[in-house]
Amino acid sequence: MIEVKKITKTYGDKKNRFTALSDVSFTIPDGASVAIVGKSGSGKSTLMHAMSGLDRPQKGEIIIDGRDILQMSQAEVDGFRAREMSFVFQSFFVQGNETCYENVSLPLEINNVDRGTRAERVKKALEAVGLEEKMKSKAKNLSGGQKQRLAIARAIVDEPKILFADEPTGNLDTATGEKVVEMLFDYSRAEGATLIIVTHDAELAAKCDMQVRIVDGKVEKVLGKKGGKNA
Amino acid sequence: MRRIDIAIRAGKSLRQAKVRTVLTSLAIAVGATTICLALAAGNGARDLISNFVGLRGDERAIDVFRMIPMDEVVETVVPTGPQRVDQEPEEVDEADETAMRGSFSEQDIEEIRAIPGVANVTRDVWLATVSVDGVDGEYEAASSVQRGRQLNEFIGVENDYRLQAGEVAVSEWYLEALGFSSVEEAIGETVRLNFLANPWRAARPDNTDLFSKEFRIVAGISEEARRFSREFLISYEDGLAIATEQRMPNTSLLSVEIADGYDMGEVRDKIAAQHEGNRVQSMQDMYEEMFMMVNIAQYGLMGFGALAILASVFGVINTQYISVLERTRQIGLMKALGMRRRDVARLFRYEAAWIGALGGMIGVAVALLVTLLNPVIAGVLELEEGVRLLQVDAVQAVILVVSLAVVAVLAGYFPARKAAKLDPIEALRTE
Ligand SMILES: Nc1ncnc2c1ncn2[C@@H]1O[C@H](COP(=O)(O)OP(=O)(O)OP(=O)(O)O)[C@@H](O)[C@H]1O
Ligand SMILES: [Mg+2]
Repeated sequence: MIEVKKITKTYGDKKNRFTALSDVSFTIPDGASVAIVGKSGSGKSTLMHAMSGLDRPQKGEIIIDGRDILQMSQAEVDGFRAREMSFVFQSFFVQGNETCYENVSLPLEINNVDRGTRAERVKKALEAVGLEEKMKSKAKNLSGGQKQRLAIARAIVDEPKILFADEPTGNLDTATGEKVVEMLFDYSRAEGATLIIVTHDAELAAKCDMQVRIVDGKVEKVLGKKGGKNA
Repeated sequence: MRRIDIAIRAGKSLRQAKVRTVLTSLAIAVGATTICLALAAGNGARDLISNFVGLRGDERAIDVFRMIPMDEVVETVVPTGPQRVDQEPEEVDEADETAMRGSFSEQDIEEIRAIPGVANVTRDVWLATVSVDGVDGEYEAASSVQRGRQLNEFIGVENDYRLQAGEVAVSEWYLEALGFSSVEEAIGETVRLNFLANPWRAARPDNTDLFSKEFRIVAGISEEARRFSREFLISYEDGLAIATEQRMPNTSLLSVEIADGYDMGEVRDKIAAQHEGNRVQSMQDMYEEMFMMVNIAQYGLMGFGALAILASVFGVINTQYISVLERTRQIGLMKALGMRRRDVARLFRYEAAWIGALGGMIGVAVALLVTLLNPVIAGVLELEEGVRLLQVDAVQAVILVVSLAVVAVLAGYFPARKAAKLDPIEALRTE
């Protein structure tokens, strides 16, 4: 369970203060899929960064499985992120000059997984996204959709409990985007992992168990798919 | 993250920026080559000195000599009037103060012998030898007298063998002239050496007044030792007797052996203190003096190398800053995936280490190539054939490479810190 409690994030100094998130609170049950929706600049990404411990908001708590990650030390929160979370970004962020294998292996290396186990799991993850053929290809030679699939393989290889996706379909055509989204949902369902998707796409948002609508840094509405689980 | 995985990733990212990596390494290699060659020349020179000194004498021996001040030399040498060639020269007055100062009397020797720690004192005996009787006539030959525990490069006996009266060691070089095919064959045979009876008349062409002595061959002398005119080496006792017969003057050089268990330096100081005119020099002193000169030259050269490396350090810093900038997004991603700051810093430090080590290895490789010129160098400096003046030492090379890796890591400190402190959100925003 992820509890977001009264998160406030401001940028700038006194004269030039901008409040990106204001008193944001909601709760996500384990294994749920959540869409964070809102206009551009409303604070969706900022919220995602706060929830993943990448950013430190000035106020509030992010309680994951009973622990407030905002109270953890930098090393602790990094370790937590390495073990429990993963990311898929709009612009892929795969390493073009590395092979697909090397790209996917990185999270495992960060988590001190030994070589032999790494080989198995990388292979499995690439199979899950249909890129097993491309294992030894340089990532820069992949198409956009393949790159995003590679990013998904990298995100799921270490079996995170929480998977963040910041506009994962933003740079893809509709058909490819749908495929990619399908893969994210597949993983979430198969592993019981929480999936948090930042998106503009209403159709995609509607597929999620839960929607958090952000307007100007505030939670406007929390919609539950099956009749107000979190409303 | 495991160090090995970080090191592998560091190596990979260097390979992706080959040109930059190699150029930065080459800058380091310039200094590394200089240092490596300086060390190699130092090794070679020290080796040369050790060999030379090792052949000359014993490490537990001290040379004691007296020098007459130059303005007094004239007094001793200038005779009182014109000399007839067929007459013996004027006897030098034994009581003459100047002459006494220039050589050692029996009493001087006794005094030195009395010093604790002195095992033996021998004069440096000079002989005027003319020839040796060979199978087919006389051959020119020089003989010298065994003194102290000098190292002899003996063949057939132990190197520390002390020649007895009537014995001689013969240079390999003479074997054939004497009618022998090997040292083994020569041992036990006799050889006749001829000495000048009136050496002070050596300059006269008709000075053929000789006396001969027979010696029993007990050992050979390796050809290498011939450099020090050890063609025929005889015992100290025989040497003294012949010198007396030839009325050779006492030389101003003594060899003092120090007993085992005594400190060379202490005994040396005591001998020096005993007589105002005593000058002492041990093999160690000689070593040290020559080594010091070699070391000064070596450190000077190494200083230049160090300067070159210092200059190349800025290259490493620059390269690493560029590397961090270039890979901002990659760093951001790695941190988002939970890579620790410590590991990010390590990644860049290892990268720097690779560059430094690569530079060192290139430097050592170039130095090794230069050592191929050893025969040429030996030729130009007119050293003996086979002398290698440049000797790259494996341990030194490894230490050099490791040190350069460490230096590069230090140079990469700030870029690595910049990478570690990078804000992942900022980094991932850069499109
Ligand atoms: N470092 C920063 N300094 C100042 N303002 C910032 C900073 N980062 C974000 N903001 C502001 O915070 C607000 C929220 O940004 P955020 O990136 O969360 O928007 P978003 O909802 O993800 O938008 P988009 O859909 O376009 O990605 C924006 O107005 C943005 O300008
Ligand atoms: Mg955004």
